[in-house]
Amino acid sequence: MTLTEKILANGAEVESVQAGQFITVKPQVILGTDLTAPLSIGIFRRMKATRVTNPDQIVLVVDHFTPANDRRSAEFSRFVREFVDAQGIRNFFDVGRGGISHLLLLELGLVVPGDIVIGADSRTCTGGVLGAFAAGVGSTDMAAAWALGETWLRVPETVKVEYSGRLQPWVGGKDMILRLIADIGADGARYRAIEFCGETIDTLPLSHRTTLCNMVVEAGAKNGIIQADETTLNWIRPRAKRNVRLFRADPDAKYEEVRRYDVSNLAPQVACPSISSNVKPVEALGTIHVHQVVVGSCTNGMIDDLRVAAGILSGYTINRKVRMIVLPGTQKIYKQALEEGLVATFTDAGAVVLPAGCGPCTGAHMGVLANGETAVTTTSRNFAGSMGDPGSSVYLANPAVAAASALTGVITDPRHIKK
Amino acid sequence: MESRFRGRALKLGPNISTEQILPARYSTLTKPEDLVPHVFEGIDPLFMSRMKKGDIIVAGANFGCGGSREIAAIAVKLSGLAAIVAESFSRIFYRNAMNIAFPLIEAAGVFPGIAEGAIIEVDLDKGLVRDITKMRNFHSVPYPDFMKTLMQVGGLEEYVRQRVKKTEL
Ligand code: SF4
Repeated sequence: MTLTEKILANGAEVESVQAGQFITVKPQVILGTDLTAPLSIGIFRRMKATRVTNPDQIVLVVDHFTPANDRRSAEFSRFVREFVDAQGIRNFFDVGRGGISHLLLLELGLVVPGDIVIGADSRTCTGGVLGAFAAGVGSTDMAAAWALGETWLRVPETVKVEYSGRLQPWVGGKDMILRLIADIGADGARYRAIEFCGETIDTLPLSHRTTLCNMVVEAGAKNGIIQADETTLNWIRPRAKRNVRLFRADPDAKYEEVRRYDVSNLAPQVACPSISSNVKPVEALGTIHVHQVVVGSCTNGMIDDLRVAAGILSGYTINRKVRMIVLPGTQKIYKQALEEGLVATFTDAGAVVLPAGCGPCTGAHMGVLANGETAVTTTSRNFAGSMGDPGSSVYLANPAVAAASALTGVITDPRHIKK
Repeated sequence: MESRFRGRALKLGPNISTEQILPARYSTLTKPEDLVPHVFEGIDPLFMSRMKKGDIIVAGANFGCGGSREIAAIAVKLSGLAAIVAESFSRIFYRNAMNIAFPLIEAAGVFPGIAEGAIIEVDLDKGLVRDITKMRNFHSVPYPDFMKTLMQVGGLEEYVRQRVKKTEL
């Protein structure tokens, strides 16, 4: 069995599972946010359920509209708070106490290797970075899981992606995943698991691994996963609140496909509008003027990402035609950025630092683009309208490219910034 | 739910995202009558004015990609559309639609094969889409048993309601 199949078989309490099979599992974590949980709360009531099966399975985070941006979203957050109180849910993270749910799960050790995580948010796949099975589901799914303590899953086929070679400076997880999505297409891994491995992964820091797993859904995948190793365990040990179960893929595991990449010559990649598979190496872009630059989100909002961006900006001010927004992933990351002087670097350069949360990533709150405007962003989605007006354009890139572009006002190869 | 029905084909392209189905700014709307006017507004602001109850969307690959907001699938169901036929669907959208018992049919060749306005017939049991106008068939894999159950009981909400009731008895 593959790594994903191993975890799912364990979760379903059976000897083995195979791709295509429908199973029922009790997830260790059921994740919801202020965007999707209110709908689930209504459905939960209509299901005539009164108590959740296990409040400790449930994690709820106010991150999408934080602090609330209008009366409706304020109302949404209130539904969540009331539900949390009524059901005795301990893992609840409100404005100022948390940050973006997916990074919070990692930061607090709420996900550990071997877990099954479902969440009513498409980026739930981020949790796979710690060697867990983590997949996004819908609001009805979440309500059903609250009520029954279990959920249905179809065991996905697995695609193995093996990386070799050493990454160039300014190149990382974002570029690796954008290249993969470009090659297999925005639906190239639909319904599938993607298992990342190889010597490049072995030495890849957790932040870059997080970006890889976070974006698998952009290729349509159900989950992305990296087998837990020393890097994972070093991260987990001081944080985990539960037992870790280490699974590995069998040597004779059946993969639907195996892809191999040598990353030695990989350049920074940029996904052009309006689909994540429309990817070009940064040097092939030509002159593209940008109005807004965003660094952060659950895709690239860890401290490493902020350090890279600050490293490029330090000593410079950003182009006068550009607004730059920095979006730390969690409150803790914000604090660390403050302590390391990164927030000072950003503000000195002329950027605005937002509270930890989804910010402009939802396209509805703080940093909305106007018709005809262009943004380069480290977030994960560049569909028409994903950051505001349908007539705006979004380019996806790594934090170095985004910061370099903020300095020049055009999408820029960070290798050209003199340091 | 009827397992066989006919409707008029309304075509949309490939890679239709949940943002195009229902822009995120409407996702805090809770009343059906507030939601429905905005269905497909992100791709065609006039969509709801040309759509009639019982119409069937015919789309390209990867329909429903993007965010997992179930409200997008719910809004489509509330709009009165009968089904969506596409080359393929994104995973979470598919799951959401199954959970609310809104029929999606994945069949190769439908997007180039079926013209705007054609009358098509969908047979969920057989996994068949038929273009009545051109008398042409497109085949899909019939639903697995678990999904058939969901469709029959009217979705996951009803399925859970029945189970919750049983445990209380
Ligand atoms: S940061 Fe963006 S992609 Fe991540 S959870 Fe928030 S809205 Fe979704």
